[in-house]
Amino acid sequence: MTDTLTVSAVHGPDLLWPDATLADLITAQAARTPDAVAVRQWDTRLTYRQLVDRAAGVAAALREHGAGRGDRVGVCGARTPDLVVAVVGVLLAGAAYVPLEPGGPRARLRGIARDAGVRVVVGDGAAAEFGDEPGVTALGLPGPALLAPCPARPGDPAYVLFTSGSTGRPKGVLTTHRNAVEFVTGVSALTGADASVRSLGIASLGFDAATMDLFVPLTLGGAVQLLGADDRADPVRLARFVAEHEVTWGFITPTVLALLDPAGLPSWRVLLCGGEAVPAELAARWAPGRRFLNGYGPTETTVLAVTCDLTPADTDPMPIGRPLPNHRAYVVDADLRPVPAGETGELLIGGPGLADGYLNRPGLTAERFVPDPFGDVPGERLYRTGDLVRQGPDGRIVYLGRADRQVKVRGQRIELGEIEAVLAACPGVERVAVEAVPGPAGAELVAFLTPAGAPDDDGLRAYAASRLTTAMLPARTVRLDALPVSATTGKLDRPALRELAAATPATVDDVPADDDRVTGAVRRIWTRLLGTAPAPDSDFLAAGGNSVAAMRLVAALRAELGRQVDTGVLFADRTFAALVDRVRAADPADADGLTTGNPPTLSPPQRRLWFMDQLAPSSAPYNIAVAHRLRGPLDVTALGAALRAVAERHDVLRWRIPCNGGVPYAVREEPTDVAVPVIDLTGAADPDGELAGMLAAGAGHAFDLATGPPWQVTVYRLAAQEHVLAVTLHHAVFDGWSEALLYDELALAYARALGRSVPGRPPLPATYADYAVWRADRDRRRGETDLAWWTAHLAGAPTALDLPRDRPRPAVQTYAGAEAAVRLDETADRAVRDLATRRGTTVAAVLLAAFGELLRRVTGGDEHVLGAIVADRRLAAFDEVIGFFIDTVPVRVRSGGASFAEQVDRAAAELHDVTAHPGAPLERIVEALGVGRDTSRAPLVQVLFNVLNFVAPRLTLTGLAAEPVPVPKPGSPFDLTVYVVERDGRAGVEVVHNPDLFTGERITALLADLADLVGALAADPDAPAAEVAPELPRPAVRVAALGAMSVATAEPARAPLPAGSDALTATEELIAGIWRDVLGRDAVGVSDNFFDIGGHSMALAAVHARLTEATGRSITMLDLFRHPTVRALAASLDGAADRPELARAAMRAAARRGRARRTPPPRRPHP
Amino acid sequence: MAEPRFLVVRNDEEQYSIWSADRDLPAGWHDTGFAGSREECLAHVDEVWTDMRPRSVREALS
Repeated sequence: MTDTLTVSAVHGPDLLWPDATLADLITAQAARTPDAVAVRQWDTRLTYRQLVDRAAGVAAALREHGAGRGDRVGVCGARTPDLVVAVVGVLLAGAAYVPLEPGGPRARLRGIARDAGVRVVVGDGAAAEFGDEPGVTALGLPGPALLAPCPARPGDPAYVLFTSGSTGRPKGVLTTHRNAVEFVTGVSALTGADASVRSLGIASLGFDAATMDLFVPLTLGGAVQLLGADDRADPVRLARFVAEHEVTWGFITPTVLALLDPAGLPSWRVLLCGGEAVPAELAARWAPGRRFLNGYGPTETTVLAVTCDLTPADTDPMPIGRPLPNHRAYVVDADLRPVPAGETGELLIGGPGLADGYLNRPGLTAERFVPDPFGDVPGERLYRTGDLVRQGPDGRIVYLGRADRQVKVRGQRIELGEIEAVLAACPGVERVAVEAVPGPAGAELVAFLTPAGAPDDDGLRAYAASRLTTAMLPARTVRLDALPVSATTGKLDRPALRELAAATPATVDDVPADDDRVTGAVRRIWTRLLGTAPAPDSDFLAAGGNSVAAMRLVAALRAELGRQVDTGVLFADRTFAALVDRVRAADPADADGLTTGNPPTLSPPQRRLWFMDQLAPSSAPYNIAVAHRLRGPLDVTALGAALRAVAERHDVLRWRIPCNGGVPYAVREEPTDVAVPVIDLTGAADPDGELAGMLAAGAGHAFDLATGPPWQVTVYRLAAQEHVLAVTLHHAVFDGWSEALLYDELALAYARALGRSVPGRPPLPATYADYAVWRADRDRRRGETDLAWWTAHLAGAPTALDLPRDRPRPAVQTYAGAEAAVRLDETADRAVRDLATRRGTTVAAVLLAAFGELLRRVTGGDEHVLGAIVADRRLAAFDEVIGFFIDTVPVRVRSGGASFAEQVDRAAAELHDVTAHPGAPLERIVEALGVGRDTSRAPLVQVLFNVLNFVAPRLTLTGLAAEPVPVPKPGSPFDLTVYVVERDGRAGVEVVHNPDLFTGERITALLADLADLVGALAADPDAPAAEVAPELPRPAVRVAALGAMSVATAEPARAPLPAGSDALTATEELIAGIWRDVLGRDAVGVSDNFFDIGGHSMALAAVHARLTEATGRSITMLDLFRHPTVRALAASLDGAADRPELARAAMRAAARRGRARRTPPPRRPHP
Repeated sequence: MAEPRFLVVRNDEEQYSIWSADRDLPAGWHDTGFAGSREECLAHVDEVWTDMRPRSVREALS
């Protein structure tokens, strides 16, 4: 046969696996690492020894009740570590476990138990669910017992999972130990899982993914991070759980993943996603910064059968990948004959993952498990998945839909999956499900689309008409925020969809006229998520709500109304009216008042940066510079087009910030081609050296915000197939969060520019200008309240922090930067994490407390004010917007007179509190506190403690392998900036410091001592902190260099200012007049300090503009700062022929630009 | 058009399945002698396949 050369067939690699049972592997692991944590849920931990001892107790009890090898035992319990004990106990007894989840429909539960021949049910839910069931023994969890060997053999069933059948009767899939062990071995090898794995224990025990959650870690010496029911039901709690348990590895369905935010979950480095089709958009959002794998597989082939890494470059329809080790995949027609490569057919799977079959269903088993006509091992079977796929040109299998979803519409046979695949590729559509329902004229097709803002019928028809026959075009469309999902599997709930389709379609406009705003909004969300408009007494559960719907409802209320309602409410008091009351009673938040379509408008943080830029125009501490090495063919023209597309979508990249009369404002340029200069280094003698120098120079580029683009892009050519792409952006239009957005957008736009078919993105829900306008309104509403909180909170706190230094503080702040880093050793890292867990807080809070204690020892003061960074991205509408959303806020760190544990609690509370008062930006706080202005230092905050831990996102460009290239930071906006980081699984800090103040040796020593101190404090958290490791830090850190604690008096002693005279000079008169105008005062005294009589940064800028215009002289903003009284400024203007101090500052700046820099630690943008 | 005919087949593990009557039987599979429509074959399997454990597992247990 000639077609065997071109058939669709793919084989996974060969891999040996242990010939053992799951129970054997777990007990062997427990013997190796008895004290390692096997299961954790917050403060509850089971070590391997505890797990196995207690499971042995379960096994002994089962044996007493006559259950053992060949039997099936029910497991019924809440999602606590005890559930894992019960599972392992059943396996140890040699029996197969049958998940019987408590709380579900009781008739179904008991039906399954009967079908499975279950005589014993074990777990903390057993008595409640089965206590009165005749013939069933319900066992609670007994105490530990001596371990007895597992009597089962690898070929025996390990568990029976019941999946819903098309006939409505659940069918039990018999999975053997061999199936499970082979799968666990393969998936561990594929994902690089090892003893350090902390898995996401999220799958319900009845869903086959639980095999991954539990047995991958338990056979490797890793730890299951088991989610309780509450944490599983609310996306915010789920995210917190994942972050706090530092989950590293885990499987999740796309539906649930879509509710989470990758930014806060850096530790989750291996993410398997599947159970249903993974949308390209989701991969684009999550793949950067981690391994993101698609996982496809029916329960009948033991969890996963086909998988691959997904990248942002992958597009719909998404590939599902290639077979797992030892498995093979074939694409066949209805007669089980192979189709030519690239053609659509049904997917068949062969390999050691094939289950024995369906419990007590031989006919069904014979139908789905068929003889293998392709393989070389006689007598093998293949499982018919019923899924339609095709093999892509790269060999990866592409999922298209279910094969058995054929319907007849107006006489034509129609494959629903085919319609779904076409509609899913329509720009603006994320997910699609098509169902056929009886209509007045026979079957009619209803398409369910997400998001709620998916294209309207005209748009959809325009796209689909040329791709689908008339009969295939949906008769009706329903747009939803999300498709309904089953609470057990997290997969699309098709029966619910069919009910929804049959119901009268409710539209969002169907709203009673007398609704108030809150009721209307809750009604809209309810209708969108549940499909029918609620009446006041509508019951959440009766309306089709389940835990996943509850989680979405809570997320939507939070995102759209800014109200925090607990999911528990939806189950406790389930009516619509009660929900509205709860929402009304919840804290009013900041979501109100978002308007769109605003013209370019500066936000307060942008004004602050603009002012800093005026103050030090030649330095660039607020640049963000990133670079990637690209291997492969780079199409520079396509890159230019892609950059233009990014700037078209994110207009802030096209802003200019000129000023008028000292008042900055924003204007937007029309999109133009983005220049991509290519610098050829192929002939350079020392290309690496030249590249490093050029990257540093590019990072320090001084942007002219008034006239030029706020970003620049340079390509360095190192070889025909090797380039470095360097991007430098002014912080005023960018932040750490924006970095991932930039890469995602660039990846898509570049693919499109190369002519790839890439789905269009829906328009952004808001622009940066919309943020600025929303924020101005928010600040107006909350400003006074928040400011009052800040002034009270900071009352009496020191406003300057002088670390012991090596050089006198320059009279004018410089922005030179140098970098250093330290990583905690393993013991310290563990102690810090344990303490953070015990105190219910983050590693960052522990490090902040330790840093505070270090400061206390160094300065002798009990409290210090540091800066922290808060991302003001409080509305979901801003999630996708590139721009500067960062506030620097003061953090008051109190040390002294307390145990370290108490200090950690304080630090945690402080870090929390400072995020809750965003209405008063730093300038206003500085002003309200009356902090004297001083040209030698940043006001109030001289040391920044940055806990915003963005994972460095990854750039992926079609056809290119990209890896980040470190770029030195262009400067240090503060004396010292401390970044809390995680490197190679351990906590650490990186710092940028000003070398004009500190030597590198001092900073290195300080970091080393900080690392030692935090380890010591965390190991002894209940002792008075001051008594722990009193030798730290070493004297070289504690003691300043001789004479360095002064401020450099660069200026010769000034001539005494003219005093006592009432008569003003002409210059004084001019200045005083401008002050009066700008400050709106009737009078100003010649000796009044500008900043004491209502002057602030922006007023100073106005004075500067007026004075420059009136005198025609070049006056720097800094001059006004340094001479804050009318008399001093006039004297300076009149007599300032020679200004040595400023000349010196200029020389320092020049020297700095030429200075060679040390190799920095891995690049990390400024906040 | 006549309904396609199938055979009830069995491998050495004594697992049953069905196979199209007009195609060669894959290696390692044996005709049990029962032929009929798909439904008839599956109904027959329901009757004759009484112990679904693979033969090797069954024998190891006993």
